[in-house]
Amino acid sequence: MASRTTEKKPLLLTIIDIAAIVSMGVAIWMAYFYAPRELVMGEVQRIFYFHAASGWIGMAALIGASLVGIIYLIRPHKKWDILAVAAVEVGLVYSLMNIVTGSIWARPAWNTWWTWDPRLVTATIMELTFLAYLLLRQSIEDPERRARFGAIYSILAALTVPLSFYSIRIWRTLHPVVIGSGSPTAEGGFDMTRPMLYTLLVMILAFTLFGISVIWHRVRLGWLQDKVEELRLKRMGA
Amino acid sequence: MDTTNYLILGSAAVFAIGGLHLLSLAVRHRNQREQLAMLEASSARKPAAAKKFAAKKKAAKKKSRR
Repeated sequence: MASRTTEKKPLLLTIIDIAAIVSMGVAIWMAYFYAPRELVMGEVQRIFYFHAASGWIGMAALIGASLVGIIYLIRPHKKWDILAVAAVEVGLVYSLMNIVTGSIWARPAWNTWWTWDPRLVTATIMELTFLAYLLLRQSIEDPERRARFGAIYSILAALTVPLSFYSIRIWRTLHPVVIGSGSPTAEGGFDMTRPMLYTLLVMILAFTLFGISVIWHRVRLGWLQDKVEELRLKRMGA
Repeated sequence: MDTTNYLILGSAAVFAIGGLHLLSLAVRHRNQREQLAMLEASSARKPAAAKKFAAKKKAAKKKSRR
């Protein structure tokens, strides 16, 4: 394990880091300069690219954390626990980004910063449920027990992710349906021009690469924290 | 409708949240590295002290035999 904490940065991680930075640069340029100005909402619509991409990576990371939780329960190993914590932390950060940008976009679009709309409420429930995951872990000292409880909790908490995703299809809501807006159950949709669609796809790719890179860096930090905790316990026992 | 101010505010939120997370990762990484180095240094000192103690004991035994 010492090799995991003291080893040099893997080449693959360096490649992903570079790809993430380059693609993010291109995506930001496309969002501000390539995508056309939306006629009704004006310049603020450009937030949509960050809003949708951060929502995607947030939800993907949280679902990923629960899948890793299942793997941990089948084959208990520290590496799955460390990966789950990393995925939850990154998922929380990007979900927060999604909620904050949504609120800022809502002000000129709906004339309010916040409304008790099903999508907004379920997204907030998802965020708070996974925030509680981190708090739960803080309250358990035994590492094995902490990992087991964390895995079970993350599997249960993952139910909030599809609830948030499908909320705009299940209930009447102000939030437009972006993916599958042609569906008969979709309340409101919005049409994108080709440059808008390309910008969204590049932004999603950039956020995905960025998310993978940040999760990997968080995993490396997790191994380091584990090593420090192990040495401290050894010292206390000696 | 001019919504440029909201775009600026939204962009600031995106970069602030993402940037703060990256900064927190870097700071935590540095702190953990420092703590690891400190713990490793202190555990390396312990065997040296034990060796010194054993050598002293041996010397005392030799002295008592004489």
